[in-house]
Amino acid sequence: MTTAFLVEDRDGTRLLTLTVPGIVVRLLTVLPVLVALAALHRIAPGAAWWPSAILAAMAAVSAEVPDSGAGLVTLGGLVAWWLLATDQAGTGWALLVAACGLVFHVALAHAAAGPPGCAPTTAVVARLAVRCAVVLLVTAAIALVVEVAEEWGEPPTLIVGGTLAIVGALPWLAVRSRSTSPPTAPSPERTPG
Amino acid sequence: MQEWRPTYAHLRVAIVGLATLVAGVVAGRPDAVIIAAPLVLVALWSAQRPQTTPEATTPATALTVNEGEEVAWEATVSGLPPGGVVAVVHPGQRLLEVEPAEGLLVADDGAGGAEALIALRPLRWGRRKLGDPAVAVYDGWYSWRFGPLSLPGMRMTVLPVTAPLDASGPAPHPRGLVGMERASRPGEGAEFAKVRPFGLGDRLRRIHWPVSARTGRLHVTATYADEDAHVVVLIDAVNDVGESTGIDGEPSSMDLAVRAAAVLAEHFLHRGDRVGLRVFGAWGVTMAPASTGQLQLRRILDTLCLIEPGTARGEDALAARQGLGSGTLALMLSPLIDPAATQQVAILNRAGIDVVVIDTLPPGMEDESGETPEALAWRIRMLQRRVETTQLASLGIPVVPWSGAHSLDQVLRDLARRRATPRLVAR
Repeated sequence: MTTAFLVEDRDGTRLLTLTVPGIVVRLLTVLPVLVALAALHRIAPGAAWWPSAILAAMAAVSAEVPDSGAGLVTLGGLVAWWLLATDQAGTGWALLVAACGLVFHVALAHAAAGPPGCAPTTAVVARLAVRCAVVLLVTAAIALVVEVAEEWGEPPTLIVGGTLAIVGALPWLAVRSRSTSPPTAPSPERTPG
Repeated sequence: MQEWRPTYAHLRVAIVGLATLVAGVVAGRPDAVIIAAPLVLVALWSAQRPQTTPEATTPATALTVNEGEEVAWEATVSGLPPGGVVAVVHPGQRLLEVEPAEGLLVADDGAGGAEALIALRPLRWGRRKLGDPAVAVYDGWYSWRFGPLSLPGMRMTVLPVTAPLDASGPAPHPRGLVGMERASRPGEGAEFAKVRPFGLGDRLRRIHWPVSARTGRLHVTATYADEDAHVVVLIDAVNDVGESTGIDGEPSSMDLAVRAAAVLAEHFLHRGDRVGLRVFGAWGVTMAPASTGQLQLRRILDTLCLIEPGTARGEDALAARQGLGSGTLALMLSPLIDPAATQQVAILNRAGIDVVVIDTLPPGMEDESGETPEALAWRIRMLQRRVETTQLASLGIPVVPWSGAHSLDQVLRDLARRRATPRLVAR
């Protein structure tokens, strides 16, 4: 019946638990960082290796203690190192790193929701995948706007920033308006009397 | 009071996403804006604190199961935000399998509720209080957390497993009124005794026509009466020898004794006999008076669950005889480590009670080859135990190692055969 590999002491205290969901989540936490760092060194072959090594180690630490500030340091360090090491990378590479950042964040947040190795149902994974796909699609649309704007010779940053603000603010405004909207009047059929 | 609190994940996307976005806009780096985009989108998507108040309930607070049986523990959570996720963790315990062992994440069912099922499988008999399960509720991006909410732990009664016993050996001294044992006196029953001349009160359907025709006088088929026996199961709980690793692993002496007692009780009750239970060496549980029926089986199993070995040492050996008359079949389950057990067996035998000692020392425990003082002491005790077992055998008390449901068949046959032999007992 057991789907986990457990090591317990004589009192039943768990010393080690290895589960398939736990291993997958750890891999999804570390691998995106490694992929992003590989992309960084592909674009900037002369970049130093030690910051990347530190970031890879931080990613492993984050996977072990997901409900901590280690993930923030890792993600922030990855983005900072990217901005320092590369100079105007292509949109495709930026999109890849954005996807890696999102996967790292979501895997880490998922791992922090329960004990290490907590098993999600299929519905949880499917909904999370759909949400990530939606976010990545919007990100791809933003990247497309950047590409087009660069071809037009316009300064892309302002356009991208504005687009992002509008796209990001819309659902928030919608939720906010729904929660603060006054209650609707009862329909005549349901009015007492 | 519980409330929704932001998680490290929310902090991460908000700080890194917005900082990267600002840095990209200021430095004129479109790649930074693209990298920041998904993080900012997630931060905005989960910006608002959920307005719901989740509540968690569990229907079962007490449960009775059999050893090795798998049961589902259920938690129902209501008041989830749209797309919310529930993390449910049931703490583990020694000799209790929990699946999934590290908790379960369940999604919102679309109506603001979720139901989590966690499988529990107790591996050893006994009564236990399980740890308090915990439930935490998250929004869809794990940005907000409510809880953890603590649920009451379940009280679980684990009954010893009862394997079917197909023994045909009779009880030696049936004395009651109804049952399946062959009595020593003639009467209405199923087992053939003899063919005798017809007498007043004989039933016509018992007439043996071939003999009647041959002799010219009516003869009937006489049978032995069917009666029940008084069986008492005695458990020596002074010591628990060996380490129990559950129903799938190695048994300790108490495991063997309790499971054997359950099997024997079920067997004799199924035959219509009166079965009682006595426990020595365990505080809080001493006996279940002899009775018949399925209710008595449940009473005995419940009593067996309460045994805590080694909690009451130094009981009077004469207590074993209280309320037991001659003709009772006493089945003593003991690892024969404590000399008091041997003493009790001798007292019972002297009182005319048929005693069968069932040796519950786990296999391999007699072999100790270490050089430590403890190993030496154990070897000496094993030698003494062998001498005591031989002495019991010389008194006519069979000592049978428990090796499953058929261990007693031959012994009971021998006892039934021996009952015709007159012997001197103290009354």
